Amino acid sequence: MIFSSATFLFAFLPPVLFLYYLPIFRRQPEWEILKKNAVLCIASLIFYAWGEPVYVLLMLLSIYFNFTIVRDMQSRPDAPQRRKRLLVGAVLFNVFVLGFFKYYGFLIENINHLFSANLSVPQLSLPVGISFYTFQILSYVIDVYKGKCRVQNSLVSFATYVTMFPQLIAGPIVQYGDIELQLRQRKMSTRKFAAGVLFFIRGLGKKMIFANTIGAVYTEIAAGDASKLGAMTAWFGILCYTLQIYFDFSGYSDMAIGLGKMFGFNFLQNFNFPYAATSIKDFWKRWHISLSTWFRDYVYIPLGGNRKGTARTILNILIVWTLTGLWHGAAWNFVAWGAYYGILLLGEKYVYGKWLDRLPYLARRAITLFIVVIGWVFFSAESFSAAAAYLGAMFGRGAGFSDGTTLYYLLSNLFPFAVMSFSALGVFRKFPVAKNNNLRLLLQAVGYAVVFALCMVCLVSDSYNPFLYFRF
Amino acid sequence: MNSYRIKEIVCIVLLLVFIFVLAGRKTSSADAETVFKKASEAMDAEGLLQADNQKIVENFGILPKDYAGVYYMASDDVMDVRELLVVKVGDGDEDALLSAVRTHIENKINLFEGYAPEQAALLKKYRTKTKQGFVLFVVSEDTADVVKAFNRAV
Repeated sequence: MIFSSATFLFAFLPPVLFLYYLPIFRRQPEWEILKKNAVLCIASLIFYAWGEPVYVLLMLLSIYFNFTIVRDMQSRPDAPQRRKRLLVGAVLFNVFVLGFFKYYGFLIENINHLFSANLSVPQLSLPVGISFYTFQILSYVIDVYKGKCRVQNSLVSFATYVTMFPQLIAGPIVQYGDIELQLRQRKMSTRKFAAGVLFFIRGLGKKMIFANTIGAVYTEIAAGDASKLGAMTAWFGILCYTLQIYFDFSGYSDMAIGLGKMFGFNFLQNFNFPYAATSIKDFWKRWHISLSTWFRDYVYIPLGGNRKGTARTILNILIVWTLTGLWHGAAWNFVAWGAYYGILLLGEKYVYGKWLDRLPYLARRAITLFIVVIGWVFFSAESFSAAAAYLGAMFGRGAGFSDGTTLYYLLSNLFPFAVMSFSALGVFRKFPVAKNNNLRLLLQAVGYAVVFALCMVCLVSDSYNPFLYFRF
Repeated sequence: MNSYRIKEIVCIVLLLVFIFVLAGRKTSSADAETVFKKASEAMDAEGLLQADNQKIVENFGILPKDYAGVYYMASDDVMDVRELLVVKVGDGDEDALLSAVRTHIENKINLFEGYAPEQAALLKKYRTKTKQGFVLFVVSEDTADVVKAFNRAV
């Protein structure tokens, strides 16, 4: 089930909210919160099972195993070796589950290719959201081991943390420490609920009105043969993808944050105008913040971070960014995409960072955006060779400077493209809104109502409604 | 052995069983083009043309590169509603595909209902079939034969 579907909006969400807020244990707040967690957990399992009935079992197994092993680990705090063994066991279990379902086929394909072997490639579909929930579970296991968080003794609450449908299938990756207290007590209010609704509508608008519209243009351009693409069309295509992936993913994150608020949770921000970044380091502080934070906290710092000399820092950065690429998908183009950022970050850190800092603000933004757009070519392509062919087309090795469709694509999409570009670049952030409080509220209400109405129109009429980050 | 250890071992055993069961699920090794050819031979396909990727994107909103193989044919004549789609799912999202097909057919039925009752009636006879990693979608008078041919080819 996806958020931008009639099933979710009209058949799933309203009854879940009703049951969630139905007061059963008015005088026992501890029981009431447990009931709320149980409702959320069961609803989340139904939400997940809607598209993946088989893989619910895998998720439940993973939840129960990790719940048990962490309790086991904490049952003997005076035995550090035993605790360490259990931590390693838990990490291996989770890495094995993720590795098998996500990377086993990729590994076999590469072995077959390298050694001309003929091993059969398993045709397993990727369990939706496995990369997200495995990382969440790992954050719990590691944080409890390090003593940053207390062990969770309620299986229902732990399962709620892992399965929570607002962020289950496409993040943001919520670290256990950020939500530990909220699982026991959280403040729910009309104001928070209303803020959640507005967040959700904003995200839905980004997804349905912006991402789907501009994504259809890219899909049409990319569906053709790269050797027949003119440079202008290829650039326009990848710029459309640049906008699509931002509005698609940040829209989903906004919807997740909004739904979280409706259920009384506060999730951290996942996007902060990434295309307004002035360096690659800055970009990664603004794009998919929860993922880069996770890799920093659970891979980069444990590897030694920048505390063990230059050579080790370089190695650590390359490891982290190769893993970041691989996390996005089991294919060499994702590895290349991750390594690309690793190398660029090293360049900024050790080679040209100071020179970059001296450039005018707008020049730094333009250079960063150019680098990011080139990166999306590797990300969006189905293979490394397809990425190379598309890049070739962008630099005139396809059908020259322009092809017969260039003008058509540009003219027919110029207005939405311009509006979305300004929005993604953060230009509208500084747009003056009415100073009068009542007028501002009225404008806001009308604005959100219009966005919601437009989303409903898109929902009814649009067949093009993918979610890019689902496959990760 | 403490109770925790027993639970942990049970979980690991169950995980391995789960993996073996899933890995043992049958997925056809047939080639998408062959299945498409067999299915199309079972229907009256005169006047239907095999569509390119852009047409597939336009009609279904799916990106062919996300699937292991996508073959589609339809007519250029707007009043001819016959069509055939065969997809080898591979790593693609089968649910998204089926949902796209449903939206496509619902839109078409809405379009024809009211002014072209014959076409609308034929559209309502559409069939989708999933089998061993393949998805079939057909609108034709020969639906039953196409499904049979599809089953045999997969």
